[in-house]
Amino acid sequence: MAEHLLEIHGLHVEYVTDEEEIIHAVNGLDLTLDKGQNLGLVGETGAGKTTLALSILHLLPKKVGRITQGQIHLDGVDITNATEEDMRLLRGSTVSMIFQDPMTSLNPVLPVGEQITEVIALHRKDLTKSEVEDRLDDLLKMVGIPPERKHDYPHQFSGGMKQRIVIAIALACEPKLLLADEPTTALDVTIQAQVLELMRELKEQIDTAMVLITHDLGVVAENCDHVAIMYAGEIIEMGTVTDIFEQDRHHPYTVGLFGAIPDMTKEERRLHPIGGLMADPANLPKGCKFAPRCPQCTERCEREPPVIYTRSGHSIRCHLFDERGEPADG
Amino acid sequence: MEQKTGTNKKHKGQLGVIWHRFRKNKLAMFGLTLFTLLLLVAMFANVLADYENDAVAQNMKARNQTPSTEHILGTDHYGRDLFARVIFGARISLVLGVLTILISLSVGMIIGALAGYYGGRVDDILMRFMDILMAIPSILLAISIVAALGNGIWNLLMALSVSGVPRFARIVRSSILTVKGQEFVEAAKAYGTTDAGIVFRHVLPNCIGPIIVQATLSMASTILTISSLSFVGLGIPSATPEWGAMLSEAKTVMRYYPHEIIVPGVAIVLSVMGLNLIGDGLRDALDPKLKN
Repeated sequence: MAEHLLEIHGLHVEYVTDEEEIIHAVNGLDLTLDKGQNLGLVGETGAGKTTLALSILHLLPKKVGRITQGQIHLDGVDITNATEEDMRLLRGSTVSMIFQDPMTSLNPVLPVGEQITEVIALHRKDLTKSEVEDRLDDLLKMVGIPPERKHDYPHQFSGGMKQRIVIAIALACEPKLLLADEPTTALDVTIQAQVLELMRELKEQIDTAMVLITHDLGVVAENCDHVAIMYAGEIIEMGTVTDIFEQDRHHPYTVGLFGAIPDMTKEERRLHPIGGLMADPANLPKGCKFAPRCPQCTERCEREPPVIYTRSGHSIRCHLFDERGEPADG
Repeated sequence: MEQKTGTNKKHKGQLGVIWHRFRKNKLAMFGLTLFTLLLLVAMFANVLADYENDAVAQNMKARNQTPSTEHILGTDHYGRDLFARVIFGARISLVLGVLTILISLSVGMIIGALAGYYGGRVDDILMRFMDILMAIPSILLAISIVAALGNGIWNLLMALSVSGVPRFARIVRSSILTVKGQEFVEAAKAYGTTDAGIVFRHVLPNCIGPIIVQATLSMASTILTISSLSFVGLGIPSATPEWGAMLSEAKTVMRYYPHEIIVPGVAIVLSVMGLNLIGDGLRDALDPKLKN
């Protein structure tokens, strides 16, 4: 097996509801990510993006969510069945996560400096107190916050500054993988641009790979080198940014996503949203999961689930590409 | 542009803000003054009076005296100085009150934290046990424990603490339930904090407000319970100056020498009122929704 930073094979994640209904949140997902790579993970609400991130961290809600099949390898180690203690040591040091809402992801009663030093102290037991303090000041400077403000509480910061602090916490131990779950959704557009710019810079500095989860294709185009498009717990199209944004071979869902974005250069009067609703994850279609909403749906699509067809690194999970692409080896 | 909003302003921590809000509440400040006075009097009791000679030794020549320059609050029907007995009584009430709260708070906090954080079966078992304790009126519970174990300060302390535990367990549990679902707890997990770290660093400090308020109010009711138990003859051994016991001794002569029952009565009222006012004030000061 080649040395990838993150390798996910055939991952299935289920949630069990109170009514004993089984929700299939992630269905046979394969994903590889190399060191320093930037992957944009796009999909509509409920596609399983956050679930994927939480399964990597083993933070699925206890007793409700579970990984039923598949393996996750992180940095060459199989963490699928890692113990809670092993995972705790990995979290924050090898893999970090940035949550969606900076307003709620900081503890309101602890000064921000303490929240940053906590991570450093947890994972860098070799550092002395004053070294930890120095690191804290460096981190704050890195994210553009005056170190004198380390004694302030989260409510004394603006939303954008809070997200910078969250980023400082996530990057405090220079993780190899950063999972950013819609890091800018709760911020307004100017701040969004600043925060993304900052993340991009810092990522270069410490050479971290990142999975950027978002709804926003524009953000992906700006910040990522690879894109994966998720639908109903599967990756239905994956490739480089050029493949996704500039080629014309696309999964019908991707075509639909782009049709739903306003284009400044065309004189369209209406957007073209994708008809229908996200497939019910408790009751998924038998064939292709997108079939009920797909404008190019055939009888075969309703019968058998498509496999991934890959051509020069650009893979699409759709029967339409059967003849033209070579079937993938998996 | 954001970076320029550095800290020119003086640092005013969380405590400063709370104190600022508390200070605006006149009733609460009155309560705090009462309580501070009580505390000072209790601390310097041995400077103000002599325990052996004034508060305990009987002096049959000076029975049932009304207030005078020699005995500013008069004497009881054993000739003991009421002022001396009241201030030494304050010591007992305060020390017992504080110890009771500390014990029941720590036990209740551990039980509540375990129940709230782990949930499921742990929660069920612990909280049903707490419900059983809650089902028995606290004074009845205390009476049964003292009756079973015998009179004495330590048994009284234990009885009071046991009946205080469920209240704290419940309040800690419910605060933890509201806090533990919040995103910052998940974020803390995502950067590798231990379970203990999450409970003690991230969850409990967020629940400290209601806990402090409950502790202050509980202390008031504990002082009442101590007095009630002593009044019925359980708890503090007689001769020891204790407010409830003083009431009990004075009740036979209440008609002829009302000051003997008024003095300890007023002491109880003032200390309980002081604590309750502080508790109410703290509740308002700690509630961020009531800013200004």
